[in-house]
Amino acid sequence: MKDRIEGLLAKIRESAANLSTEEGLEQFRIAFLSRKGSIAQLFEDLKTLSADEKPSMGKALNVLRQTAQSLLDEAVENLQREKKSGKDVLDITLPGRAQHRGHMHIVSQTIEEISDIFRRMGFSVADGPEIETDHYNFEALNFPADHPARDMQDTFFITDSHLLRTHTTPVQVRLMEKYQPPIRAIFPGKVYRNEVISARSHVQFHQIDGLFVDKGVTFADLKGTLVTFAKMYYGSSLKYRFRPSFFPFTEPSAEMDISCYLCNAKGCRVCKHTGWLEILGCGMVDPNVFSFVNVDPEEFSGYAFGIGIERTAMLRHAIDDIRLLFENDLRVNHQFN
Amino acid sequence: MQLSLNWLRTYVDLPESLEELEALLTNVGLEVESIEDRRDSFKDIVVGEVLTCEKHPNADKLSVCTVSNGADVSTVVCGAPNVAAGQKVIFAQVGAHIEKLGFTIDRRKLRGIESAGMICSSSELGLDDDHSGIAVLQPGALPGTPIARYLGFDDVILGIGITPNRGDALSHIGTARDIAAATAGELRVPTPELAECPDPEPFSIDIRDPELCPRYSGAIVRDVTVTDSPDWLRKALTAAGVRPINNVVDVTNYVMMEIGQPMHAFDLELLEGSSIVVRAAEPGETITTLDDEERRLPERALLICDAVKPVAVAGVMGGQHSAVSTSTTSILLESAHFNPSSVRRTAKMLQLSTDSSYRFERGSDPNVTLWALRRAVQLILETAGGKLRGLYDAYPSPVLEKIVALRPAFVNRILGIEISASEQRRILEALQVRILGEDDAAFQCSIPTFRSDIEREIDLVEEIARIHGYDNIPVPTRIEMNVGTRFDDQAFPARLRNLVLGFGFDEILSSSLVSRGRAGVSGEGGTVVDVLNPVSKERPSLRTSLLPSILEAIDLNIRNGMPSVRIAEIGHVFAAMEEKNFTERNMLAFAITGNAQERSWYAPGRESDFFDLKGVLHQLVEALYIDNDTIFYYDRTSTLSEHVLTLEVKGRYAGQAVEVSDAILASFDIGQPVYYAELDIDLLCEALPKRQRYVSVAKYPSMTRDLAVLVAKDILAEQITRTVQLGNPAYLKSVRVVDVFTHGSIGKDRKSVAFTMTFQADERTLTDEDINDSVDAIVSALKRELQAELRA
Ligand SMILES: [Zn+2]
Repeated sequence: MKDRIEGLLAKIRESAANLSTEEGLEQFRIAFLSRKGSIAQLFEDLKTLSADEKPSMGKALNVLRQTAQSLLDEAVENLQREKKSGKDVLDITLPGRAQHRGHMHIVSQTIEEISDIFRRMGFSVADGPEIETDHYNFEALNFPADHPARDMQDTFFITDSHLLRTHTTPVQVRLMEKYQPPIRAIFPGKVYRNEVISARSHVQFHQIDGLFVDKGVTFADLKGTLVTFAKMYYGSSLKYRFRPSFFPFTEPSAEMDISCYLCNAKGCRVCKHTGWLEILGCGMVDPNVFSFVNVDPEEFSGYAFGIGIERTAMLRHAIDDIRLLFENDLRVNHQFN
Repeated sequence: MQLSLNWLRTYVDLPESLEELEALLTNVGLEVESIEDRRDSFKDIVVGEVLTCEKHPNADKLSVCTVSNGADVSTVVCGAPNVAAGQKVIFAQVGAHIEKLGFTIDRRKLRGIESAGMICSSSELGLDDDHSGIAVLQPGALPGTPIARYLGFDDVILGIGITPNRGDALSHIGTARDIAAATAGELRVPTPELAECPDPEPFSIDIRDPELCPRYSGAIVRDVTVTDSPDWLRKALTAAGVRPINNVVDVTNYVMMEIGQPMHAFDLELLEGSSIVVRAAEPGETITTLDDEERRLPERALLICDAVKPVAVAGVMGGQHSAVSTSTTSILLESAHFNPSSVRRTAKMLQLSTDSSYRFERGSDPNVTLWALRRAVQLILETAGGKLRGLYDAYPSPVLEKIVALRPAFVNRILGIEISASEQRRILEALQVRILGEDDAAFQCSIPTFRSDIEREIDLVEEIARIHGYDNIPVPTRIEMNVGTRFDDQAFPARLRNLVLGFGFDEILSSSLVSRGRAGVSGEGGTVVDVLNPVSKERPSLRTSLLPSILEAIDLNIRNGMPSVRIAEIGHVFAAMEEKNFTERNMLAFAITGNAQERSWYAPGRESDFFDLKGVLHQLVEALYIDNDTIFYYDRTSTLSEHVLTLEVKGRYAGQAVEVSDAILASFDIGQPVYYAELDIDLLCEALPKRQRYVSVAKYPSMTRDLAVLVAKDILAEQITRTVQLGNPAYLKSVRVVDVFTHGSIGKDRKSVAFTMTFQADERTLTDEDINDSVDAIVSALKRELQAELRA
């Protein structure tokens, strides 16, 4: 009996090695594994054996049956795989199965990147409404009525007292109303200007404003934070300068320029041949703003800054028309991220 | 503002190089926006004198001239009809490059006669558009003078950006003052030289509203000859960007560009009576201004009137009627101080901005009017002749210098550096701030009246900082952070966006302003908010939903040949609840259209359907650890579609998922299905669980059981799964619909629904017997509740 089992095993292995067609598989199954196949025949013969031989031979037969079955399974699987690929060899040059991948808008990317740097410097992120009141957008930020400073920001009005915010700076007033210093926050968001839409200007764009109010905050601290930001965002080798400017809500006020990275400060069309690019406006919070929110300027001081997102993104990616950013032509959006 | 370097140089010593000057001005806050160096223009082009001029023997339309450059005489063939002997002309010599025409002058024969040079028209030099003939210069022009110098082009023109607070810098002397302060240099302000007028003519000035006009100074000059200005004056004005008109008007503009005081000249003969009245306009009053426009005056606009009628809009523009012309012989010069807000309001309402209004709006110096008047009279006597017949000054309550206390320690506390008190004093005095005394560690500072922007201690801090130099304030080597002050950090929208990007949606950003018709599509409650002054009449309204933006983007991309898109947008939507009460919600919208699966080697293409959208929505909610079952409802209605899946958080509408109705799609020219979902980000944020607790995983295997039932066609899948779960059958863990089909063989009002159920116990491996009771209970519930029939 033992010899017969071993003989059959050898035969099964030999047949299994040559299985390459569906007919072959079926013949193999009938020959060895069907009810009338060779293995069934041996089980039939097992009954004639003596009681001490039965258990060991029975076990051996079971092993034989399992072996034959797994050889058959394996052959079936191989054959299916070959059929699927259509060839004997897997053509790995076929394109992979398509997956959906979303692209973040370049404005969002820029906001995220900049926010991330300020988060690392301990700033929280806050937001505010886009329909603002004249009070928050202008008055509490020390824009007197009938002052030319208001010409810097052409405004969309909703009512005589409501408007679309022209900057994200009003959020600083809302924060100082709600929280006691220290306050250390940035506020990204959409802003609106009543301007004719062209390659250079749009009725909407985005800003990130920032605010830090505490005891003993100085202009030197402002420079430290903004220089750190600029080096992290634009690279540590850049040159920078701060020059006096004017914003009603800061005093002293400044604008920060970095050396033009497009022409290596040699002068080009983009930097208007000055070698400098303006990247943000900033300054020390004006005491008048503090007085609107009942913060004592003798006890606290603070700095504020604002960065234009579209301008930053357009310079960085050589986008020459701001309208491209809000048209949502996916052939444009797909170029980023 | 445009400045002439040559002019500026008369008041203060300038740094050696242009680069240094540029850096200096920018560093004190007078940003140099442009530099135009004209010194190299028009090389080899000089003033020429036409000595003789005869007809060309071989050509009717040409002349043969001899032209002197002061040293040599050349023969020049000229085609201009107006050339004549004795003229002073623009003479381009051999070698000169005419940029506008793109060629260099060479000797060449014209009809047999060699021409050595060219007599030019002003248009050929690019000066204007006069093509009628050659430019004839003033008789006094000196032959051989480089034309650049003659035209005032031997200068450097600086374009300076002046911020709205620096009205004092809007002139050559104003800018020179800052240069002197920053370089510790000397400021040379000329003193007007004027003989006294012993017997002034009687003339009165009546200021009716001293708040709007604190001061009005005037001068009468008779026997003037109004003509073209002399070259120096024309050159100076041209360099400063002001168009020369006549000697009288040019002098008023010159003084304005010199000291910043706007002035006006009236033809005295055209004024009625011997007085000036300054008063507010009455309702309905009109005036025809210098630009020949009749303007209805806004109420409270300040007017300059003679004894009978308005003759100028104060600080904005003079009237046409009394304008100075070549027939004028007597003039009244005005040098006044007007309230900045009043001038600004009037100019805004008239939609008129002039050099004058621009300066008054930014604050002029009330105490410079007489200086300016004397200076102007002096220059008019020099250039137009005549006699001073009276100086008048109405100044009811003189404006005094403000006194502001400055603590040197406060300066250092704000700036974060140590500037000594003596250095601070030096800077203040360089800016013409007088230190009256020192007490309690503070300077008592008297602020010159030309600096109307300096009112407070902090304003002086800025003055010290900008003259000290912002770049001289050191950058600290470490940044301090506060502990424990973080508040509601807005990280959730970014988290949502990242999830949606992960599901393959491209983020878009659209204009919040849309057309009136589209603004209202799908908004939840409230009415559309319009802006009062839209840029575009087509897009005056704030969107109440992100749907119009999404559909516009889909339409655009379909037209661009990309019919299959998945896009998402995060943005605010707006509505008015009642007057001056607006709601604003931050929404996330995403949409699917076109193919969900493109045709490929491994699968045929598949069009997207509602369940692509719903699958994403469920995954999104699950990714936020929110239980899907608690926020979705199917029994709402929507204006967007009859099929709507609604989200609610705490009983409030928090979003929906729909197949957009054909009618809406048609209004956006979209001819394919669009599946659209929107979520209220803030409400969704409220539904977030505080934290996620670990639950131990099952130790024992689960068993599945499949059932198929026949039910009425209108029974929803959700009804079946809820019925299966009715009464919490023992061990049932989940149920999932796996097949739905209809076929004639099962009756046309019925459908077959197959579902698979998973059973599991926490404490042991289940057997068939364990779950038979549960399955029986489920089957009978289905029969009872839904009249379901079990399929074999
Ligand atoms: Zn550059």
